[in-house]
Amino acid sequence: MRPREAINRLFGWFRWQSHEQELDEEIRTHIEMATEENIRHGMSPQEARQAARRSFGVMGPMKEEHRDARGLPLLESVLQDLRFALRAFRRRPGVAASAIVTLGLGIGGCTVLFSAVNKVLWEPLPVKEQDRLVMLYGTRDNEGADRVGVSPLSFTRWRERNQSFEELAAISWWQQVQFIAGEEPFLGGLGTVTSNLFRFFGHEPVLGRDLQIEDERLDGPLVVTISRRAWLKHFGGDPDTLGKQVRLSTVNTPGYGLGHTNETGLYTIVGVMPDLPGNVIWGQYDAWTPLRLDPAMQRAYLQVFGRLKPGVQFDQAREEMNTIAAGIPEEVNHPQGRGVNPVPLTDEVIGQLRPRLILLSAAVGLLLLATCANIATLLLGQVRRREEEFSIRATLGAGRTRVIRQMLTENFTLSLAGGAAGCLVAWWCLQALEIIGPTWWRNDWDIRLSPASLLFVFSVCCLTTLLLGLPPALAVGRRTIYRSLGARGLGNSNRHSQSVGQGLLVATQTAVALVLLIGAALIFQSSLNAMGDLKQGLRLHSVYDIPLELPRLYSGERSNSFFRKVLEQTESLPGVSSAGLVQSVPPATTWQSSYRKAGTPVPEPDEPIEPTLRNNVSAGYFQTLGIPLVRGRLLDERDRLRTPVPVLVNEAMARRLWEGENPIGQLLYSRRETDKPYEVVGIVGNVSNHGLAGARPEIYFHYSRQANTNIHLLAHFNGSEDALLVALRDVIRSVDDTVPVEAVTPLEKTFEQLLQHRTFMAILMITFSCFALALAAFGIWGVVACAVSRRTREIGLRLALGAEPYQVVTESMRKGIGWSVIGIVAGMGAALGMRRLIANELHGVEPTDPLTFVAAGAVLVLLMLASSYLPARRAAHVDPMQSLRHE
Amino acid sequence: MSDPKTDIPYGTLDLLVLKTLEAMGPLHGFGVARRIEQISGDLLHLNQGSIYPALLRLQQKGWVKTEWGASDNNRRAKFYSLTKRGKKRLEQEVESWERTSALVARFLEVKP
Repeated sequence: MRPREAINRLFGWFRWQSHEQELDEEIRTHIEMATEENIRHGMSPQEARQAARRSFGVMGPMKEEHRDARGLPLLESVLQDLRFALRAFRRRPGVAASAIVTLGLGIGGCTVLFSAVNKVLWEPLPVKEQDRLVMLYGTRDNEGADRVGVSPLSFTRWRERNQSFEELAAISWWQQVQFIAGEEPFLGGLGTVTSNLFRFFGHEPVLGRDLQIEDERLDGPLVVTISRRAWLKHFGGDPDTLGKQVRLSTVNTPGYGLGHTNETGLYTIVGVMPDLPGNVIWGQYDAWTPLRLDPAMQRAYLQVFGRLKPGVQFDQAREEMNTIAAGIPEEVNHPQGRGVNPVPLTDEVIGQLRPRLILLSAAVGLLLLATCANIATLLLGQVRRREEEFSIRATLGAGRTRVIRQMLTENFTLSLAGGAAGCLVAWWCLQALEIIGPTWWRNDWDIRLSPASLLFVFSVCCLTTLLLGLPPALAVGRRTIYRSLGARGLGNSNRHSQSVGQGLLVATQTAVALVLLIGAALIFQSSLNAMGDLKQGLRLHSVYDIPLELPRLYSGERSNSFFRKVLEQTESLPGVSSAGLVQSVPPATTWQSSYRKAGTPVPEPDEPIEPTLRNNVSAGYFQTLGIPLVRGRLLDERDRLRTPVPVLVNEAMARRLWEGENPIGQLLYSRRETDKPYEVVGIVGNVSNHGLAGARPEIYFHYSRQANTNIHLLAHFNGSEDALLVALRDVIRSVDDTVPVEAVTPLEKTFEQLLQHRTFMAILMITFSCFALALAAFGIWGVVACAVSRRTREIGLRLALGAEPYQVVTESMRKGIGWSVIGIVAGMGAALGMRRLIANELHGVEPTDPLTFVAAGAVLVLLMLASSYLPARRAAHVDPMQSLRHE
Repeated sequence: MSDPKTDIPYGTLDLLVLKTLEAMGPLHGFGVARRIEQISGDLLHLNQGSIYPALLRLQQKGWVKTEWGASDNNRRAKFYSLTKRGKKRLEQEVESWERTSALVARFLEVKP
């Protein structure tokens, strides 16, 4: 029965108008027939009609009953609520608009963060079964390095012997290669890969085919797949690219795997592949060739990945791999002491980002809370003004529940509108972040609005409805409805609870503002500290970095002579005050080795020695970067042939090996050598050479003592970047015209890039705290202004009785200040409680730094005073006569 | 739930309407109302208008169907008639009513 009825009701609802008309017609017919009958019984037409009408009964309630039986009453009353809500908004567009805008900002911010968190934490990789993926790093146990490359030797043995992995895949380090295909040769990044690599990450070819296992055969044809980006950029996205031939020419040292028989070769393009996940595989690859392994080669240039067999735990696999690695004598006995370090891939990828995202989410969540508090205050204020409206509604039959439901509908409509605005804000923010965000955001993660984000927005809307709606709804107490029809409601207890509600909201906003301000201040300070530490010991202004890479055909002599000529000519360029060469630019000094003092015994093969960073430099390097010479002399060209080999050490190295002694003239040996001494000829100042970890011991050789194929030319230049680029191109072309100069980078920009995530965080936190401060200020202002206008009569009375203006002003400020102080105290407590959340992000400053807390508190106090004072001033201008008359 | 406008509960009015339609065949709203008034003499105080919501309810439940037709005076009116379901429902209601009244009668007979 019920379904039939329901269906009929549904039809009834849709055919409302016609049903109404039919009923009217029936009623008319009925009355006419009744009138006729009455006439037949002898009444006059007029009497007949009246009698007919009377016996019919009251029209209104009957029609209502008819309607109730017809439609869907719940739906109808909800729609009615909606209509009321829209009407209420139209009457007060300002309130509605500001609520929607504020909500939009708050919800929008949350959605952006949610989309990022969702992508990074829940779907970091576009691969199924991510928790089975493992990254297999190589290690150099004797140097304490645990995330380095793997050699083909190790890779082959691991692949043969393991039982834990379904499959292993590998890709070589990024290698710069010259592509010659048709019109313009271009430089790009090449990787040699195992044929299963793309399938490992779940990637299908965009065009053509992926590499296959047959391509790995040593005698097979030369094939290459190119990236979609390269395909679009250099081949115009032409589908005929397949089958084209391209010549690949390495510009680096050989043996990295273009095939050891063909260092340059003519390759056939067989497929176009999408990019590999950038958060896993660093570097912009433009093409991939099959990895043709020489199982005896020990140069460790591979990145290895594995997928665990179902049912195999990570710890099991790790143990097994350690055992296998220990059973490869060539590697174990290698001077670097090589092993394996398996790491779950998701950990690697998320690792650093997780705490950062959690921190940001907390910040945005707080901001949303403050936003809701702000709007709730607004709406609470509205309730008072609409008391009359509600009481009338109540009298006309709407129960308290109905009124509350109506308010919730209003708030839900507001929330949905705010949610829609929020989606717009989020979308716009994501677009903006694509352009100005840090590289890790742009390249590695494809963060966009997903269905999950929309679901999130909807949930937040519901949540904010509750947050916004409950305080005012609860304030609409029974007494409010019935009592306020009469008197103006002087001091009923509802007002008290309402004002407590307002006060709590103010306290919340103040607390949130304080917490965000403290967070922003701490992060800002650590960002400055980090930059300071990184630049320590260096003068970066006007210094430019020009990386130079030689084609690998050059011998050591020829390459060093090239560099020397370039350096000489650069130094004589107008505008260049000094120039130098260096192998690795701080703070990313990567090469390390280990050294011992002459006279100390040779260490055992597996005895660990602390690594020392090593670098190759020219004489002018130190001057260019403003690194002081502390003692002794710098290296120069004559040191090319001297014995013992002259070296420079930095202060940290001097302190480590020769604490208290004079290191000049002392001798060093490389780890286990006994016949090639190095002589310390000078000490230079410390610079950050190991990221933010400060200055590690470092040793400098003259560049000419080694065959260098790539080196950085640093020049201190007074002029524009472009001018330098043009000048340098001429210089280099005059020495050797096959060497490309891609770009000239100001060193300051490189450093800024290194810290861009910190800068980004700082900017975000400062933005959030500005918003929160504004919200808190408005909140306090609103509350005080409300109090003043409500108590005009009382104020007037007091002024008339002789109170001083300043007294009424301070009295009015009291409420704003009182609740704010509670908020400030609560905020301090919350900031202390959240210290662990922020600790990882900080550098050089404690999460409980007292100075920061005090300063932030002071700012809030000032804000509070200003926001209370300005609206309270109005109290002093109340005309006592006016207010007493005003009833 | 008793409607304060009429003096009889919903359920009973429905029963009367169904019975009337069974006895009289298809009838328009006025006809049903007048018929009920006549049968009950003047004992029943019925607002004629209240017949319409009752008829609609019966229609919603599928016990009554409607058709537009012509009245005696060639007026266009909506005619209500019993459906098969309605007939069955009527039988059930009558049975239940008779059972109830028999039970009550038994109680009233009981001598102390």
